[in-house]
Amino acid sequence: MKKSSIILALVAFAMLASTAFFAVPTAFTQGNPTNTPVPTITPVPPVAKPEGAIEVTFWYGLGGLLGNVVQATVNKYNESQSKYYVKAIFQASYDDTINKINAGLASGDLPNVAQIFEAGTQRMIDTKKIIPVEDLLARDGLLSIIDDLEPAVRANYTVNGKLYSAPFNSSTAMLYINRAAFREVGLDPDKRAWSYDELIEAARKLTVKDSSGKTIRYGIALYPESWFFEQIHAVNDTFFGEPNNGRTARMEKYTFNNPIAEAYFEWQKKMIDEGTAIYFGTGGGAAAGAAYANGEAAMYFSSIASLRTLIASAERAGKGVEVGTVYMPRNPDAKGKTIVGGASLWITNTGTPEQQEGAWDFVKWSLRPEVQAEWAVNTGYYPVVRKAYELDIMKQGLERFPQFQVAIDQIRLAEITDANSAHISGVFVSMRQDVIKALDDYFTGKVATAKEALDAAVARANEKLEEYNASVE
Amino acid sequence: MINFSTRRGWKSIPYFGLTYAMLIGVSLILMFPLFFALSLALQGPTAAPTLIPTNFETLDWGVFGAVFQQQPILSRWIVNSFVVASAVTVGVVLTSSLFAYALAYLNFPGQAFLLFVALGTLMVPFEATLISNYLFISEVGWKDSYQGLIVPFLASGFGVFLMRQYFLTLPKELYDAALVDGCGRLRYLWSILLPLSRPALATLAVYTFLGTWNQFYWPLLVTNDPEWRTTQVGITIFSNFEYAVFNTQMAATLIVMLPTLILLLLGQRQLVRGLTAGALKG
Amino acid sequence: MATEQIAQAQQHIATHRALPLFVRPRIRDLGRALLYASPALVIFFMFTYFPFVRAIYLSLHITNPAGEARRFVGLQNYARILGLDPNSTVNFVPYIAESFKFAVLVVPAGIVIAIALAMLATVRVRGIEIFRTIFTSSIAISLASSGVIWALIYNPSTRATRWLVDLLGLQQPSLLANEATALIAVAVMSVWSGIGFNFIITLAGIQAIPQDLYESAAIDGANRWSAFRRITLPLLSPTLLFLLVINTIGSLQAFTQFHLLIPEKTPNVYVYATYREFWYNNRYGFASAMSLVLFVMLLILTIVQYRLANRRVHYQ
Repeated sequence: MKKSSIILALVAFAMLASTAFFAVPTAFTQGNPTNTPVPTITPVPPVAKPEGAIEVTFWYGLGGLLGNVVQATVNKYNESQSKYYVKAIFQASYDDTINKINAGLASGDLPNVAQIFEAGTQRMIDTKKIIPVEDLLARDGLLSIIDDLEPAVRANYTVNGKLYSAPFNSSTAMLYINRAAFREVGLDPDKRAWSYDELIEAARKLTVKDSSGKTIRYGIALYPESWFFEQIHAVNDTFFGEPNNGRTARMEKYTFNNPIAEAYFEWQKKMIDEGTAIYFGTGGGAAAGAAYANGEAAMYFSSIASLRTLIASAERAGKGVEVGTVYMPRNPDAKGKTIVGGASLWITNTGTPEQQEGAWDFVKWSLRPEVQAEWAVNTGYYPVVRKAYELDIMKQGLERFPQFQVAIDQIRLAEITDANSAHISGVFVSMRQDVIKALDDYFTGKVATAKEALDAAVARANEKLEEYNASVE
Repeated sequence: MINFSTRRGWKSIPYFGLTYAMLIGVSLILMFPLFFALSLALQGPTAAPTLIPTNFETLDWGVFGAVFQQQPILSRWIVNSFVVASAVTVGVVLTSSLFAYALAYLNFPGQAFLLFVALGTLMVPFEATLISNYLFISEVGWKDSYQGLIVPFLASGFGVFLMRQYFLTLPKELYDAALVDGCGRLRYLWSILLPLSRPALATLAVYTFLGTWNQFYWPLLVTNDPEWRTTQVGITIFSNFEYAVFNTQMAATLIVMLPTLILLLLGQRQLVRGLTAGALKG
Repeated sequence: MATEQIAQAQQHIATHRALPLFVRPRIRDLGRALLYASPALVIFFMFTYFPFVRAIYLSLHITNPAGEARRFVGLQNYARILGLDPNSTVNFVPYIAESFKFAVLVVPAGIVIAIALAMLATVRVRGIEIFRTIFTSSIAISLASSGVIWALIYNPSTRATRWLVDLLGLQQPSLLANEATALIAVAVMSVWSGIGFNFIITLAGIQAIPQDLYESAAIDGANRWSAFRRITLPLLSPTLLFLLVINTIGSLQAFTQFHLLIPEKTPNVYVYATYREFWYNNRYGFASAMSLVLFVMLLILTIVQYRLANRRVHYQ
């Protein structure tokens, strides 16, 4: 063996060994030049399983801070009783969770309860391995809980008149604004409903250029995301697909190439062309959020669930951004409301009857007002039951974060109809990719008109929808 | 090696100086990403790190230990990678040696066909079989398990090829003599042939361990539970958290790189031999 | 000894007629060979050949999210991938083109750099071994580790590449987010990752060239450059052909770097698109067809490369 190799190997060994030396004593926040406390993302450890408890597996797809709150919630349930023990397994993402379920269909390797995102509803129903929540509520004589659910949230998980899953974490889309910037240019930050034209005007006022002509603040940061596009349909009581958004019968085709959609596309393009909007391209959500928190853009679309994160980021950035929320853009003739995103809990018919009972017990517990209130206050999601609003903890939370109230009011702006509830389909995820491509093609000028981009997207999505429907009949 | 200086009588000092300058310069450029990773690892949990740490006194060497405390699952990932890489290496060495032994020392009809069966696996890119393999692993319930990560890779066409070529270079007389002396065929393999084949075995072992440790796509698909992920998939998950804290991710990446770097340093000669075995013969 | 064997053989013939002398031990050895080869053969069949056949089967069907074949559609999936189906809006040819674009960016650069480094590393100075090891080191660094590090190098927050973005006047703050530079940025990372392997192979190839060839050239008055062109390159050509084929196949199969650096890009490279179809859209039959198209492409490419380049390759 060459001498130099041995020397290098010894150096490497020394480095490896020294990590063990440092593992024990040193503090974690050494050498932090900016001295701002950074929230830790140390995972919350699960509590131990009591003797003889029946184990119930629970798959969830929220990560980071939110994932910690999920684990903390599960810990609370496990500590509250000793008959069942819920083992929570993190699945890296919502996409991964539903993929695992699909893979598990063949092997029978399914959890007893799973957190599935709203786009997965049709797929879960098609697995034919779930127990509808409404059946269990009826069996236990607890149908009154359904009445107490937030209507918009309930509607999201109701198909053919039956509630299939238990809503767990629900959010909606908001237009975040920089209240300080709004006041600076004479706009009212408390105004909630803005039309497209009003926003174009606002973006013009909010755009600030420096002496050399370079834009140092844009009116709005834009990025292509299908969820907001779906929201606009609901706000305008327009069907996304037929028949009836898939709520009364299996969805046969998409119809999102309509005038409402075109108006939404064209509104954003106008601002990009005027230079009052900065467009961040596909996958640019994080960059757009960073631009908003840094004061480089005065408006940006996101979920109400990001409220706490954005407030923290804005504080850390220290550029004086005051986080505010307003409704998704609504023209005067818009009569609908936004739809809820997030996820719900599905109970599968796998496992022993005891495990199924345990899964149901956990789900029932999660619907309690106090559980929902604590969950909402710690995250930014809605409490799914209205009784939660009566609790002190919730009231205090709303006082601290009035931006949240805007979100609550937004989903109550209209009565529930099929058109202002989300659609469900088996190809939700790939449809979203098609919409993102349409947005990006149009905004970057690859396609000349919004109609062309939308027609192409609908054709692509319908092709896949047909294939999916053929495969599950 | 090309050596013109003695022929041309160039002055040695500036020549050497220039050469060293180039060598060091190129090395620095090549190693820049590693320096970058180290620099970011040592700057503490800041969201705005600089290329070169501004203050060398506050370098956070403790991050390498802290990352284990913050993400204790890192140790599990390292264990998983070790178990999988070791098991696959042992498996490949054994199955390849057995197969190559048959090809090199036994005389039977269909020899060429069997060789082709082994080499044919090199022709089929793993994407062509990936989906079916994934479905199969799901169906037998081997997701999130060591079996799912190990079993598909227990044999290698490259290994068969390498060992066969090496066996063919050894004198057959040894084998014939041993048989005459009543030595069993398998005993011959185990007690005589394999010890003689140490260079080739070392090559195969280094190559297989390295390749398995560095696998990404397959472990990504087949593992979901964080407990079962391997180092490569694990370090990419670090970045999925909401706050952009770079130091722990870089520290973990560097830690995860160490075993293969050490292996390379110790087994470089074997590895080169193995890689060039296919190249030079064209 | 021989007489005993003959006697044995005659005995065997007597009991097992019609079998000539030399076949008997061969058939016995066949059994033995199959026994020794069986562990490997089982793995090869279970995880290479059988899945390959199953992939072909799945590719001819529409599958459900659980992976079961539901409806036979013949070559429809293939037609759609290649953009040949008039009823379909799907066309993956842009993705194939993107993969080839990537290969063109990565392969020549990688080989040229390897040659330059290998030439540099043949200089006889003290400590050259350390430098050779450094040049080789990227072999030990996995694509995932490189990907994670380069993702941060390109991340605007670390400001390592911000200067380049400003210099080029790009719209997005990250090289990975701009359409024009995304692929190139990933290519740079891939070239870096592949330097170790290419370097080692090239160095071995150079070292195999007999020294006396250079000495005669020097005597004949050749300078370094013409010696390189007339001796080194031609004699290196089998090695370069090998690198060409291996690097091309490798770059067309690249996945990890795209998953880590530019997952959102469209059109992305073909292998990544296949992953999306199979992992996110659960279209197992369709994705199987995609992977088989890739297989055929790689096969044709390899054959073509060997045929074309073989004419120019000099063997000693």
